[in-house]
Amino acid sequence: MTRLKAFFGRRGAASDKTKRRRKHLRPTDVVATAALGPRTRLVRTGLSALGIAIGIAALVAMQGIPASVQAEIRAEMDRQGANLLVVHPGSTDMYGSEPPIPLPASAPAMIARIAPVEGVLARRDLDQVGVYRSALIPEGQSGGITASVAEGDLMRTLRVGLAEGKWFDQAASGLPTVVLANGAARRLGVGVGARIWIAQRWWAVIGVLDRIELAQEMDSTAFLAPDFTAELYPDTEIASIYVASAPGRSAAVRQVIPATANPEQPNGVSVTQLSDLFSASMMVDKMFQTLSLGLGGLALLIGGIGIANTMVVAVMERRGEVGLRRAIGARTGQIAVQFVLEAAFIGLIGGLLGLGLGAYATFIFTAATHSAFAMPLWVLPAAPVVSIAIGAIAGLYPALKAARLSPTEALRAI
Amino acid sequence: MTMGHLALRGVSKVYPGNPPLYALKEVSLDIDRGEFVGVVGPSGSGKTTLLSLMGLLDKPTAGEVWLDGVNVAALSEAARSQARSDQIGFVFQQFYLLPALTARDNVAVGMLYQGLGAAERRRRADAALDRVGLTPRAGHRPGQLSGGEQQRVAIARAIAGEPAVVFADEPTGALDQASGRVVMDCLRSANDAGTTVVVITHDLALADQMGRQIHMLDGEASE
Repeated sequence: MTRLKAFFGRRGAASDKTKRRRKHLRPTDVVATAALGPRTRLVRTGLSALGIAIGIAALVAMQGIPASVQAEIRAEMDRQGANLLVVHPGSTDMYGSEPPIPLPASAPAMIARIAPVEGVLARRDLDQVGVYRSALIPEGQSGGITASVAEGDLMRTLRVGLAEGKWFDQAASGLPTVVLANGAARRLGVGVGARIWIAQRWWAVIGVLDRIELAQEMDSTAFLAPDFTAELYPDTEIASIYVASAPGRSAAVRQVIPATANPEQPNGVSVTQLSDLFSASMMVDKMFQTLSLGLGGLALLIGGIGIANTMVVAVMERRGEVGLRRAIGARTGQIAVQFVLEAAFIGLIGGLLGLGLGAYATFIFTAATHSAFAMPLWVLPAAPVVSIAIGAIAGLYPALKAARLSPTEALRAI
Repeated sequence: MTMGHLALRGVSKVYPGNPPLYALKEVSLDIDRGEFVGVVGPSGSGKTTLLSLMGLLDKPTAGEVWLDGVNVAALSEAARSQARSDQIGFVFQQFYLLPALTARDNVAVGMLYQGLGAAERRRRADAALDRVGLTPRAGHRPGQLSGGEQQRVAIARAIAGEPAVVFADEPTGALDQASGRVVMDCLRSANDAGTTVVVITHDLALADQMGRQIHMLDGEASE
């Protein structure tokens, strides 16, 4: 019969015209309608988005900066050998007033038997022995070079190679030969083939090591031939044992080392790990991150309140528009959705802005500290999602207020 | 008794308060398809309330409002919204154009809730702008248009969706005489094309130009 009757009548009665018509807005129309308000008032939109942007930027930067720092720390730890444990003679007295208990001579061999241990190096220091360029150098002017004996696989344990020459073999070990650490060779100004003066006799330099990155305290050491030195100084105690364990197993190895190295007095064995320091710095980062998370959250809350405020004002200003939209057929739900989406849209702008700002801040930080740029990937979707959610929540009350306006009320107000 | 395309039966509207305001008192009237009706009366006589009820913007306190054989007063809010979008066009004294949109887009917004596609809305908007003689201004924003032109955009918006009835509430109220005349011409040509037009005005001279007059006084209607 007629359009309206067909529309509200039974389905079968619907005319061609009503069939063609849909009650729902198309998604593109919904988005375009919601974007209209923010587009119309760019400055206000920008300013209300700024609060969210700052919050998101703070959170993004706080994800990015510690991530970059941690990446840097991990790289550093890899360089430094996270798996390297150093065993020292320890004191049974926790205040360290008792003299340290010497490590048993059997300790290196015992430790080498622990399954995940890949390399063991025992170092004995000859504290009284000076190392000289020649016999003419006065006693005492040894240039801070330590004479030590390294037993075990130095190159594997400390991941160091030879700059020139060779390491001790069976023959060289029994002769007055010496291998210089890189720093020691530079200080002495000698290379392979030279002779240096140690313990009132000449020693032949048979090798020079690369820089020992993992144990830089050993970089100015002259390593004396083990067998030959053992005859000269039979009672030298073990100063330290370096233990390289399989990746990720150092904690397990660390637990069993004391009882293995010195079964009678496991308390007298002190084990340190080079990565201990980094764990501490990471803990500080964690606290820093938690604090920043709180501050970022606060900024987001304030940003959300800013959006709510903007939307309340927008609804008051645009009562006429609400009235018009109701008059041309918008349902209450469609009005509510429009304003919620508007607020979400402002939030999204803030979120994207904040993501950019935060990433930029992280980039600046990493560039300034020469660290690697790292950003957890989940931040990319999380920033817009969080900001859209905050915007939508902030817009809920103003949107409901707008939707509850009766058309006549809304049109009356100007 | 036959019923008009738009019919009111014993419609009252009371606004609660102390004392309650009787804006409409048992008004009954029929408006047929294609009529050009003027509703005249002094301020506060109930003209706008009558328009709100006939235009499905509000529900009567008592009585029935029939549009096209359906008692719309009994419909749900959502159904009345849909009926407004499909059946009714509005022209207001303050135009209510969206300042960020061009004339064409403002006209197209009028059909937004009919569920038409954007291209179809734009096509119809262009046709409606042509009918009010504003094709050259289609790309202008409201701020770049005169008051009379803005009201003609609003008329185009009201008629673009091909409604059965257009309600105009003081359409010339904010305009000078010359602009007002052009606006009335636009409404008249819409009426000539078959649309029922109901104009609310307090201007008796304006009402004289219309085919039929309904006089409002203290919430009661007379002819």
